[in-house]
Amino acid sequence: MKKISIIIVLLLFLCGCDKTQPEYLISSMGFDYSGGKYIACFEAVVINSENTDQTVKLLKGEGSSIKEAVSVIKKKCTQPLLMSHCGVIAVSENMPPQYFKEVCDFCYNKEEITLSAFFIKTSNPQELLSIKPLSSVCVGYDIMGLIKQNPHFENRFFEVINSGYKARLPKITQKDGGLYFEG
Amino acid sequence: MKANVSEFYKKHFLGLSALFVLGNTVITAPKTNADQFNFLGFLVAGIISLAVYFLVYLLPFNRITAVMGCLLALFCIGDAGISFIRFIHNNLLPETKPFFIVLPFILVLTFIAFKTNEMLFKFSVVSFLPVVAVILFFFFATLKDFNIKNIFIYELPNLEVFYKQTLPYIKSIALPSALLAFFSKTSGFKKGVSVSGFAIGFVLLGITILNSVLLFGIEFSGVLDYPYSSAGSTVTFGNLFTRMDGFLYFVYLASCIVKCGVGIFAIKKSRNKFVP
Amino acid sequence: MSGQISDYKNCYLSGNLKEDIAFFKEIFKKDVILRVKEISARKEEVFDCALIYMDGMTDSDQINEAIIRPLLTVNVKNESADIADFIGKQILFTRDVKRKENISEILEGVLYGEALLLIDGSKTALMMDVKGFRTRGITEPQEERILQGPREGFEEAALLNLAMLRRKLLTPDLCVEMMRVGRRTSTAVFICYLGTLANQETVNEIKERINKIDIDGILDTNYITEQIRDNKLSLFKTSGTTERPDIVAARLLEGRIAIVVDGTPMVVTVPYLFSENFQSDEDYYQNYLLSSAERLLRYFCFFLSISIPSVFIALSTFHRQLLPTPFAITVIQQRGGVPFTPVWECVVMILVFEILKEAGIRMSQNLGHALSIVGGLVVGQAAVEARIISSPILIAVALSGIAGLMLPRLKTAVFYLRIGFVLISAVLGIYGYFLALIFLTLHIFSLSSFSIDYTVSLKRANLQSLKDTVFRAPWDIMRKRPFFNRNIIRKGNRK
Repeated sequence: MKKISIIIVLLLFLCGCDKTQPEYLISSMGFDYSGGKYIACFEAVVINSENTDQTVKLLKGEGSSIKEAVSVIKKKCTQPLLMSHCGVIAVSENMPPQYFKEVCDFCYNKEEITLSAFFIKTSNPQELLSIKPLSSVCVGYDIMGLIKQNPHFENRFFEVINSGYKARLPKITQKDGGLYFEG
Repeated sequence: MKANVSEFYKKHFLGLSALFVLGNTVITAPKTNADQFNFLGFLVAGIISLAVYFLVYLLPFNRITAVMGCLLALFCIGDAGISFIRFIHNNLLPETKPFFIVLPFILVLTFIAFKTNEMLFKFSVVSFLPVVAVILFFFFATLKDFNIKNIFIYELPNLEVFYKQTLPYIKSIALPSALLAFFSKTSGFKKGVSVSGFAIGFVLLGITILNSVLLFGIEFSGVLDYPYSSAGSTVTFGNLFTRMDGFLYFVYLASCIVKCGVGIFAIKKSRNKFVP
Repeated sequence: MSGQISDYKNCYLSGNLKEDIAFFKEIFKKDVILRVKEISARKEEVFDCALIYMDGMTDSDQINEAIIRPLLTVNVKNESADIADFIGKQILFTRDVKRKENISEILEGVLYGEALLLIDGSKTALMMDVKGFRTRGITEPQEERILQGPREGFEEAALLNLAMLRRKLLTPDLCVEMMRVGRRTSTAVFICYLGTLANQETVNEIKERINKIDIDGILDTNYITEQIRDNKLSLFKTSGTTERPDIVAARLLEGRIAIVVDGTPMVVTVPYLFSENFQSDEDYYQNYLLSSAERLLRYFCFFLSISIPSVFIALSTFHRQLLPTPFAITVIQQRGGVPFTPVWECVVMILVFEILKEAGIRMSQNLGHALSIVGGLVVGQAAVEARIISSPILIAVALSGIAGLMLPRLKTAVFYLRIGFVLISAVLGIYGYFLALIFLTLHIFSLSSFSIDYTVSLKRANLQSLKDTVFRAPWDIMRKRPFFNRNIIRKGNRK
């Protein structure tokens, strides 16, 4: 009985075992809707232990629903995705309002995504998230830095929901290698 | 000995009462399906709680009230424990089996059951200040994002709607206030001490509810499972301190432990009526 | 015969010198340091006697000059019927002469460095205090060094220690009661307290607990402490120890009771409060602001030393969403390639830190340089570069270890708590950490030391009770002693 209880206790300590693998840290997400399909793209910071520099990957998925699009992305990845550090959610400016609400509901239900993540709009989320970052590891952090310099937007996740999904989102475009607010 | 306890531990009982009121209500308030009358319902429930408190204080301590106190204590312990464990399982440890979450919690409660209530009093006075500090900190940290219109009431409530908003608070505040009155009376404390503590706890609870409502609005707060936690997660200081809701877990644990502890000692007091 | 002094409690001297000498020689037949000097006085008075003493434990000069010479040159006539009385009062030059008949009492004295004078024809023997065993000398305690204040420390001879204490407390109120503990060592244990301050019930309780000790020998205060302490399973000690006479005197002035054990410089003081773990010996000798800041720092260090590794494990394993993003990236990156789980890394590093610490205490000073190279380079640098451990864990454990060094009185508790917290956080994350913290707090609040609450200052929870706990208030406003005293007024009242 003593041996069994010791083994049980020891097994409990191994709970952290599966957390030793490196993960993809999602810094920003982008959602678009065109041609009857949802397009999701995640900007992932790949944390590689073998070299000190982090690399950034753009993961893309398509589907008839957002959930399907995201699951396509997950299937492509060998490592689990760490979504709780996502700071920016970019939506296409052409996305109809009802689909925008679906994006918000998806992000809300995926509880890991913090309510203080910033929503922005852009002409093409995939294009925006695939540009080379200027001053930080990934373009998502660049966008966050830009937004924090202009705090008059009420575009945080909870503010968007609070406004009934009608919040005025800042539009960010890429021009000459830099990021700008438009309008 | 009873006189000595009540003489020495006035401040402690004040802190204990405040934490007791916070209990597990702070985790989930405002409740699901909250609407614009929710805060009003909370205030009315507070008045009802005070009335219940004074009523229970007037009752004599005999075997019948001892049994009722016991049952109420069991209800409060169960309610607080289940709420808290559910929060931990859903929010913090979704992959851990509930048994391993419940077990240490029960061990701590068992430890409390074998000790004197002076230990709980000291714990209350020590944890009261950090809890107040954390609640006030989060309130002022989220102040800049408050939308005052979120608590405006645009029409008069009808009774049915009002009742729906008050009832959850009656269950989570008024009923436990009866247990608080029972415990206060059997421990020899004067009404003033525990009522003051109750008032402080009520104000703190109100601050936490307002925190969520002013930040998220009542509709969204009513949809969130754990609104206060979610409100805490929006507090950021620069790039370094981005998710500070970890501090709230201590508040929840301390207030639940105090609530369960009061229930345990109320049962012990009731048992003394039957077993000399 | 079990070889204990108590075997002879019903034996008495026969009065026949030869028989008594033979009796003592038989008791100490295998002890070569026992000396027997037979003396025949043939001057003014004629009598035969024998001096028995332990060589090395007595002062030879004193024996020669104060005992043997006077006996051999007796120049007064005995006018009393009792020869022992005559010799003790009129012949001997020693400062302390006691009359003894019981063999066990005589043995206690001889074994402690007293000289025994057997007189032919008398059933009463004389015991003279001629102790002369060498002592270490008064030195500063190694473990309790201070920058400001007295530097003297206790040594192994209890009487000298009591003398040092007496020098600090020039009051007739200082009570010193003696007990003998240990079947084979019969160690002298002295209970010291100030009669008008100490709680007599506590004194009686201590004596009762010490009386119940049934052990072969007492060689150190810890033999007594472990057997009389409250809450034997607790990691927190409920009795204080010190080698400094000024600290013992200060504690006696607060109504505590000191237990001085012969043969060890460590003195125990009870009751012991939780806040004393965070006090330093020089808190009262330096500016109160500095002392207060240092005490707050010690409280903070206690919290840090048990929390840093466990919080790190909890956040990096279960709750990465709570970590700041840049830090989360660093943690994930640094952990990559390390074959062990964070909890095992942490536990192993904690053990390595303790090994280095312990080796530093035990080894000779010549090896200090080598040890710091091994510790710093091998453990610190090479292990990280080889990806055996990750640097965030190393930093966390090192910070926690250094914080723990601020609290020498809590080293046992900190060691076990650190590992315990790490293990619980590894299983239950931040919930486990907070639960363990609350359980620890509840446990501390439930402790007592000789019927006094371990956290008695929290009983009143007012400013008065905080004056000498978290802070050290200036002397002019510390008017009251701790609440367990019979007389809590420290100043402003000359009664």
